Amino acid sequence: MRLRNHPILEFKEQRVIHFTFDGQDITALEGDTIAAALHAAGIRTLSHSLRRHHPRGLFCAIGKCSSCLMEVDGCPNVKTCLVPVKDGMVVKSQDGWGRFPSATSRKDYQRKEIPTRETDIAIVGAGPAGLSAAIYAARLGARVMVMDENYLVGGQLIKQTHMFFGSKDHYAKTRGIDIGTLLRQQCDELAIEILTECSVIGYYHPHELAMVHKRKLNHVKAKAVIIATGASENMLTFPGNDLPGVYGAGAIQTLMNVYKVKPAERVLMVGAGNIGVIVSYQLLQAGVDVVAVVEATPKIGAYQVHASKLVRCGVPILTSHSIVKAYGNESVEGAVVAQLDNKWNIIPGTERDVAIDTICLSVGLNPASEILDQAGCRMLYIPELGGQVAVIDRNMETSVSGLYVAGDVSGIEEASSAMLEGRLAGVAAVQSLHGSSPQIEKLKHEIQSGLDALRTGPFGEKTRIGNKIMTEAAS
Amino acid sequence: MTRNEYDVIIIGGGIIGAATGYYLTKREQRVLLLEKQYLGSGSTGRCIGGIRAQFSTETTIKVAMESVELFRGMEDEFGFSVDWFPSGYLFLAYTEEKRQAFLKILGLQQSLGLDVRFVEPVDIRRRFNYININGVLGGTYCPTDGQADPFFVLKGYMLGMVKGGSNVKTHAEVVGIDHHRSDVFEVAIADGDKFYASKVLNAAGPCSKSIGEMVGIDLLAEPERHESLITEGIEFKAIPMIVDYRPDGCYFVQRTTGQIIGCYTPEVQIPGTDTGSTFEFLTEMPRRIIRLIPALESVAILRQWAGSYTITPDGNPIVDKTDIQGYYVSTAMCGHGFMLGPALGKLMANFMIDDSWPYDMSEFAYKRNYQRDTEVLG
Repeated sequence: MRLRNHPILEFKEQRVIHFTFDGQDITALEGDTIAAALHAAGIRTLSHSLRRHHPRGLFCAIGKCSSCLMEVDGCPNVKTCLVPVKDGMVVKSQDGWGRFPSATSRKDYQRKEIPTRETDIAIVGAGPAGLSAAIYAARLGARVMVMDENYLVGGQLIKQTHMFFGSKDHYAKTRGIDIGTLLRQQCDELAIEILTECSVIGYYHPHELAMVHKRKLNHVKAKAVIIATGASENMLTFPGNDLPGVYGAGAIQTLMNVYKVKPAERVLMVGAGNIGVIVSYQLLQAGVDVVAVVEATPKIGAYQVHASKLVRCGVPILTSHSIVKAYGNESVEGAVVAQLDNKWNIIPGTERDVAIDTICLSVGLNPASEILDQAGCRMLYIPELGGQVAVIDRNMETSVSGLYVAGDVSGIEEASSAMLEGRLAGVAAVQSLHGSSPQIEKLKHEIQSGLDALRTGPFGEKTRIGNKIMTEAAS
Repeated sequence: MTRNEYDVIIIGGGIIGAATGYYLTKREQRVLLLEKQYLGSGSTGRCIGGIRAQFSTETTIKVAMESVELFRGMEDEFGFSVDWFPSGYLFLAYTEEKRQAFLKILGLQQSLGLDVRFVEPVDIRRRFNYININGVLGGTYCPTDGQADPFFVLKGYMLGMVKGGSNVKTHAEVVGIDHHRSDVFEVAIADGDKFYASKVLNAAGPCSKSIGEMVGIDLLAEPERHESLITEGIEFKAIPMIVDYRPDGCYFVQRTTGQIIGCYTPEVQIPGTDTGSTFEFLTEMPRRIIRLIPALESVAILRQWAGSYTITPDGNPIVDKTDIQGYYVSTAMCGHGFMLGPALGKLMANFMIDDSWPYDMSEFAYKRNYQRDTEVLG
């Protein structure tokens, strides 16, 4: 089902197109991904698990998990959450792995040349960190190329309908979706090349990347590389967590705020951090009933102002509560929640049933740092930063010279700090190319002070601890 | 026996150390296995899991056939599946010279009881209709060759060792071996602990040369880099291990979990223990796979990595005792450690106790002529 009206989102005229799913005609709007169009048509089961053939639905919606794999125009194992739908596309569900493709008619194998693209600074990820890095590097005269797996530019900003906090320099009082547009405009003004539907699958010394653009392999040669790949959402362990209808909070946001699909009727939100509380409010804006927010810890993690807004709308936030199980046949039909004691054990007798069709998990993020590990960066597991991160210095540089990081991949924070880290990595990467200058030193100092300022106060505590652990380990 | 005294100390936590430790433990030896990093972190955990008995010399064929039998019995022995599957090995000849060489070796293999046959291009076409047989002059096919999961196999052996009262110590890098008393070795690890045994087995694969040097033994065993990749899973067609013998050939198999996994031997050897990956391999390997199975063109690559082959000049392993009483070596598997490991583990365990081999093992002797004189199916 599609949203028809919304207090914030704008509705533009979109061309109606048609494709088939397992032989059935599906009506979609141009700009939908395959997975979003299927959701709009009420299809939630996208694949089946390999061993037990359990139904699987969308979980991340941004190409990080693999529960939406389908055969598209004869090509097996396509992540349908990343691929925009086209008129006449033939989409088929897979039972486990994809069908063995039929042989091509070609008798003799032809060697294909692999296109090489050269640039000064290659940036992986077109979210707030990657775009900020691109803008600052390009302003200092570097040739920049940005690559992103998704076909829309802006990373997670494109679904953030809420206003940001902080100072003017951090785009305070501007909605995330508008910040994304602003950054995009600045990139266009600087003639920065942004490639979408583009997965970087390998890093090779020195500063060469293997990149798959619309399923074709490319070779990228750069003088410096900035990794700004963001994060993936954490899963939570409970019976029934693999049912279609259990989503990461980001996936819910993508469906409703990017593709304007009404993702549910009645939702149970798990996790009362900023994302959980903000997405709950956004669900209300989309006309979805949020029955409750459960939070396992005794206190609400989100900013008070967000939490209060939600409570004023009549949504209970149950602290020291968690989900016990989800149930349903093809999809979520309900869940059991219960109260926890101070040792995280369920208090017997407090279990209760909630009638819902969707469970939204907002239980933290995990840095998408695989490529840094593959590149040979020194890695550390720092829970305060969300998981495996590369050891970096004050300039965002990893142990591999000329390889930088920015944003959530360097440790989970917010978009505001991601943008500052991006700027810093962008400036530092240019410095590695052309040497230092008073202008560069001044810029770096300003950005570093800005980052320090963002991380003061109780909400910056985890990052401060995490960074301290890293500094100690590095020395 | 005190806490740090053992019957045997094994250096190296790959398939060779694990299998030998397992069979020693079964013969009531108390073993300590020391591994520098984690189990399988050297060559075993990086191998693609192929198992074959199609070799070109008598000893290797016998050992490999014994290994296949052991792999077959592992599910019963360990109580869990090691994903053993007889997918077969298909060797392809593209030149008349190679075809003749295959035919010659076939006789030896069959005389030792191996179920292996010559296949004409038309047979290949009939049985594996997805293979592009352009230019193929024939091949050999052995249906009892197969594959297994190296991690499950290691797990089975290690659990068996521990259950039998032996010890496995990971993240324990051996930094010195003292042999000033002729009947006992003192093995020191990086954190300062010392262990004692009257017998030591060097099963350190790529590191075996330096472990040899610790007692003054020079092993002709040099590591070189081999790269591999694995694709995403695809409908299981039981694609055998296809070995393309052209200079720009490759070898790959479909795992029982659907993925295609494979490698090629670089034309110029890359010596050393660097296990980094290259863009060249990423582009070249899929080309070679698609040339053989065009339908795989739309299957995406999931991961690439590299591992070490520890090589001797004649392409045969070194499995023997040495000039130093009590110091044994089982290393330099030349890329065949996983497939030969179970049988070599059993043979070496018995040899360390009985001091005799059940058949001629001089091909693998520590002291031998290392010049390559026969063609080796490598």
